[in-house]
Amino acid sequence: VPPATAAVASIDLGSEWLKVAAVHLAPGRAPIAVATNEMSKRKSPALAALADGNRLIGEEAAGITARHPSKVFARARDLLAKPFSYVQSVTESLFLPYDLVPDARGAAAVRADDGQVYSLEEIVAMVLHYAAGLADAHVGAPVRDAVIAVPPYFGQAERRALTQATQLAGINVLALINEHAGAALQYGIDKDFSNASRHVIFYDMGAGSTYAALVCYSAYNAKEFGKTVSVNQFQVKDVRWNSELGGVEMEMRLVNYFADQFNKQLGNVVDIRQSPKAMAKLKKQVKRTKEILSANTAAPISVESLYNDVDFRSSITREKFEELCEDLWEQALTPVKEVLTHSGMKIDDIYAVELIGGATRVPKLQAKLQEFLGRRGLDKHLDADEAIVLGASLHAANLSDGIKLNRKLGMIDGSTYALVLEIDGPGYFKDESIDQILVPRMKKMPIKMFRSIRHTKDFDVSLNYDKAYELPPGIPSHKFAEYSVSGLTDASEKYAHRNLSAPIKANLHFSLSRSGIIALDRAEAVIEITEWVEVPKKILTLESNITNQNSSFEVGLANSTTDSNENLSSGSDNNSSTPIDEGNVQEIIAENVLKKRTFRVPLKVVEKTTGAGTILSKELYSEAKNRLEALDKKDAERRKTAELKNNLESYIYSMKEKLEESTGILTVSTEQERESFAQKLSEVQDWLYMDGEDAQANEFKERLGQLKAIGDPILFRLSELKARPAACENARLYLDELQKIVNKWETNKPWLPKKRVDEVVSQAEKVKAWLEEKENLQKNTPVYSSPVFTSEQVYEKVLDLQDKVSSVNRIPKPKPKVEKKTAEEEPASKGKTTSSESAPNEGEYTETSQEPKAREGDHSASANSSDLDPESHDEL
Amino acid sequence: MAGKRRHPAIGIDLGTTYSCIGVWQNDRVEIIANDQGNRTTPSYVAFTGSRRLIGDAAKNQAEMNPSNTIFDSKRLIGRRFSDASVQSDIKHWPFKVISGPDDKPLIVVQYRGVEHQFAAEEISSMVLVKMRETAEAYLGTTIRDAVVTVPACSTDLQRQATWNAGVLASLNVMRIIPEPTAAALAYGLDRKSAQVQGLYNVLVFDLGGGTFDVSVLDKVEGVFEVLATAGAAHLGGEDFDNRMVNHFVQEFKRKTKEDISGNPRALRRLRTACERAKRTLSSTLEATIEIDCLYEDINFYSTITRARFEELNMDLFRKCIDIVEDCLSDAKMDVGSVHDVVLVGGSSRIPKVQQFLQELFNGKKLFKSINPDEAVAYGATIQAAIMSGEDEIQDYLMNDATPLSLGLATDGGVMTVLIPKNATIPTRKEVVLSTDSDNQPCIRIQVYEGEGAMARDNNLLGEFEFSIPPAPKGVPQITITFHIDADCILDVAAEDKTTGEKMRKTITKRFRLKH
Repeated sequence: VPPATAAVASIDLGSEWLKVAAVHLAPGRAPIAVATNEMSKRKSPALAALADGNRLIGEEAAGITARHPSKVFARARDLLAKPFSYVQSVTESLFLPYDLVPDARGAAAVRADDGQVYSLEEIVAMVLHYAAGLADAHVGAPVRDAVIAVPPYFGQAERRALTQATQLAGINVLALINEHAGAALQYGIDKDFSNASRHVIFYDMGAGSTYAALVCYSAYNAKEFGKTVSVNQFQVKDVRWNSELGGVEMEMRLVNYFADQFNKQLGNVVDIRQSPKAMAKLKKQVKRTKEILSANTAAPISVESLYNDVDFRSSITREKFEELCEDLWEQALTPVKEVLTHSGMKIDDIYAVELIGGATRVPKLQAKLQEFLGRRGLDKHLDADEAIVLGASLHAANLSDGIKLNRKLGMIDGSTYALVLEIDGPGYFKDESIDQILVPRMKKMPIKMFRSIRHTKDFDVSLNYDKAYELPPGIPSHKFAEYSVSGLTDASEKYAHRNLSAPIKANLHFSLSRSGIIALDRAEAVIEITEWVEVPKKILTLESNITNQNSSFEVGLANSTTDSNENLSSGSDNNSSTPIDEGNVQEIIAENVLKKRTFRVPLKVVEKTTGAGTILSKELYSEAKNRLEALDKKDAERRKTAELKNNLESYIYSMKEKLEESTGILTVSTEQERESFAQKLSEVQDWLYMDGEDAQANEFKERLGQLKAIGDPILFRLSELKARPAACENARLYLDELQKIVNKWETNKPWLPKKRVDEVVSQAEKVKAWLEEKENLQKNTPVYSSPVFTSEQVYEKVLDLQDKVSSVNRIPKPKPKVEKKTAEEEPASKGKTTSSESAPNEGEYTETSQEPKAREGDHSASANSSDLDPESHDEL
Repeated sequence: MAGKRRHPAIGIDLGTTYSCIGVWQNDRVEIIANDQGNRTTPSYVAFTGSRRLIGDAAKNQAEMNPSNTIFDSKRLIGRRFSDASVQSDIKHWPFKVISGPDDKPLIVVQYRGVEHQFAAEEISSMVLVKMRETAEAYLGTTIRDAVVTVPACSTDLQRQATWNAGVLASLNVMRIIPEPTAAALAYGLDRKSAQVQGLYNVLVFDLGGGTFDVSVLDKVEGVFEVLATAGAAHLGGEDFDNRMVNHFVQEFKRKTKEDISGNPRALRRLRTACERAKRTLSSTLEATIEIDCLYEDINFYSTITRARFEELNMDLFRKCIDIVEDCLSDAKMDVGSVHDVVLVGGSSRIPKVQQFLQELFNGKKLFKSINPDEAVAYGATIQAAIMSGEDEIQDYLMNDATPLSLGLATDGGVMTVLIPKNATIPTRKEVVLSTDSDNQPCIRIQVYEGEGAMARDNNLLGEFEFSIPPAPKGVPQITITFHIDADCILDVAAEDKTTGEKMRKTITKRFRLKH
């Protein structure tokens, strides 16, 4: 069995749209391709719906939005790990009428109409599970490893929550990748930067946010088999964003504009903003109108039955649309200005400004960017919708075990937030000289970090966003993680009586993963002591001038290289002899010498993060997993029900067609039978369109069984109409053949017991008689009645007879009795014996070769038999 | 990359209703999205009081400006006004067509307040300009060279007119190829045919939204030729939608006693829902229809099974198969003579259609992995890449396997395989060799790639000689190691364990996946 082909996926889960790319190496196919959904589209709505007891994802969810606006969950990615109040305000401003409830963490959860509450991690997991399904369908096999793209403003809580949601979906997260890094990968993979480095700005305005990322492409030299080669790479220098400015914000301007217009048409007696269904319909059409305005200077809007069966028809010019969004255009420039300002670069230094994201197609936005950038044109060398997911797939290929890129493009991306460490504990004195910045902004990932503090009591560690920068959207506090570090008090007390040569320190080990997630991995106490020990005296022949060495380390140094180089195993004895004696040489047996020892004691680290940003606990995760599995099971049942219904309906159509068109069926059924069956088929068909709309799987199965109970016998009779005569003919041929076999036995195999031969002949007579009887009975029986006998029965009898013939045919010739003769005749006797012994062997061979052919009832068996028999005769 | 053309060549599918463009990039075909993010662009041109619109912009305003929005110009190109098909089409078009010099059809529009008359190739050239500009914006460079497709049954006049349209669009039309030929190229059938002795026949089945075309191609001396074509000018996905609409109109009547067949508003909404349901039924067995207030205050909720959808359209599906058989008959060919079947057009995704085709061709595997809406542009792009001198039309962006076996020439020139094809990499294999004559001073290590049993039938990748001390034949033990690293570089090492002598050679040929 050839090894399974590696396949990985990348997922770009945006505010509004979901894109999936699969990396799959198969002959005749592009190795990287965007997967299409059931509508043959390359992007799917990032929606999950829980309505009428069913779960729908993607296109199906979009299809019921207008009817069940409160049950189709949108923007779930942007609402992950956010406080309940923030989620409430966002959904209200977007006219998303969900039944939100706070969960135990203070985050938002949604209540379905059956009362079940789902965390937002579960909603996101449903969408990601659907994404994995698209990759599976594209590849033709399960794809479980994926890289997930995230926007740059995703903070720590959001990244951890998304990772967990992805795991809930049954996907192994190879990495999260910043969207801009994905686009940068896609941009650079086919270019060569060995002659000149290049600065590119990637400007992305999607449905929900806008950012600008500054990327520097360059090349460095590396040795490969002794030869110097140039390797391309890029580094993300900076990224700035507006997490609230996107296509949806523009759409909401249009939505409110048209809502006011419609209210006015109704005489302002009602505000359709109060109607979730009306707003859902309006939003859907506004999206289309906005798309038209990107291509045309005016666009109509037409919503049928917007409210109380009143249609809404209007139009808007591009000019008016631009006026409604007047304040947005300047805001759109801010991210670009900021990356240039903070990087100290000028527009002329930028090689290209690449546009990605659907909202960059808005003409006014392009004009505004063009105006700001001056003479250089905007660049659209990437597919605005797919650059990120395709770039992420390159990353996925690199991270996978079985796939390697033949082109190299090194990627250096960094943390989009500056992260700060804070220590709090009883008696802890905050030393301002300690470097508090744990991760500078744009610090490259992945990386491990180390901090050392001087303290003797248990303490708390908190990780915070740097106050110098803005927080992730909706996050109320700079603090995003808390840990308690314990065991230090005990360690301090344990060693308090020892002669400490330096203050007790605690080392903290952090890691920032390639997904941009930071964690406090472990902590340890470092205790250094000096103590007197007796050692044998060394006889010194010369007077020593050893000077006193100051061995104490400078305490409190951050990033202490000395400490990090020390033996990391805990409790190790680091012998470091530092003799401080000098002068007199005395001849004694032993003397005391000071020795320094270092102990490393692991400390217990417990995460104590609270609030909406907390990840699901083990218990909650398990419960969520079970709920999702229950939904999966329900989905499978729904598919099964649809399959059974389809089978039933398919049977009805094919049988109706046969009843009307098949001439054969006319002969094997009575008119009454056909009419009765047709009526029954029609009854079930009518039932399908009435009560059958909501029937259960069992019911479809039962009704199919009932119909088949009537239809199968008819079809059986039809097939028997041909099969039975063929079987009879076959049997008759064999019986004739058998007669010849028996005749030959009499002449060629006289040793066969008469009784056995008679049994065969008798059996043959019985089969023949049975056949004649049955055929006569059948001849007098209408073909529309149950057959008197079946082709299968005929074949059974023939086979049984064949077995009998074979067993008789295998009876060996008995050895002849040889009487003792005089010595003179002995040689002749031996010769005869030899001859008679060889004969049975030959016969045995002949019989064996005949056996399979006899079973098959092959006519050629007779020929073979007659050919071989004369030889036996000659030998005899 | 040395030798790469400065101006990449593109392939254009100039379609009746939609056009599509592709470029060879990253060593593969990239279909380019237009400025609206769509991978296909409507073949529409519109004229207003102030400007000319092409593509999405033209189609968007068609309802409001019907007499000045031109589509289907492909049905006019290279034809005469008096042609029966032209006269028939004119009856359905909202724009005006008149007879010009030499019976040439001219399209009449009001543009900036003045009447203008355009030839069909002028309209098509405007669409081609739009496609060229789309490619230029994406590639950031000027586009000149293009391969453009035409229908299989095009006359020389129609090809010439299409070529003229390209010239008007400032394109150097390197070649005009039939659409089914492009579809065959998309699946690499030009290279597959090289492995078939004698004739190689392909059937291209193109079932789109509004038209149905079947073509039989054969490959003679390296060139695809169209042997026969058949089709229906008005048969496709829209007809299947109509059947479903009629079905639900009847269902609505049965349930509510109301007849909506004369209500355009209700029918429009129902049609939209039916089109969605049709797509869903290609991947699921049941689809739902849910329309609030379909008629007055009555909501309409229903479901439809795939079986029902198939039953509604069974006669149309069978008609498609009949046309396929007619085409084979015209080509004087039976189903057994067809080597491959290629599916094109969105409606070829319908499972029952595929099932019927497979049954007709005795279970033959159908080529359908490329998006059927893009397959023609895909193939045209490959043709363009070939003509632009791309050294190899194959994707080597990545790989994870050796597509050909690797081995050594041993006794008598036999190919001894060390690394079989499709082995995963990195990989390492060893074999121990000896001498075949006494006191042989050295052994020659010859590395071959290929599937032939004899080394000479395969591709020699490299060779070197390894010196050994004199010894009787069969006594030396020389270990040969093949190592392909993660970067797909083959390292061949020879070592005499007796003497410890080593020698190695690196073969840097990249192992490539065939397109």
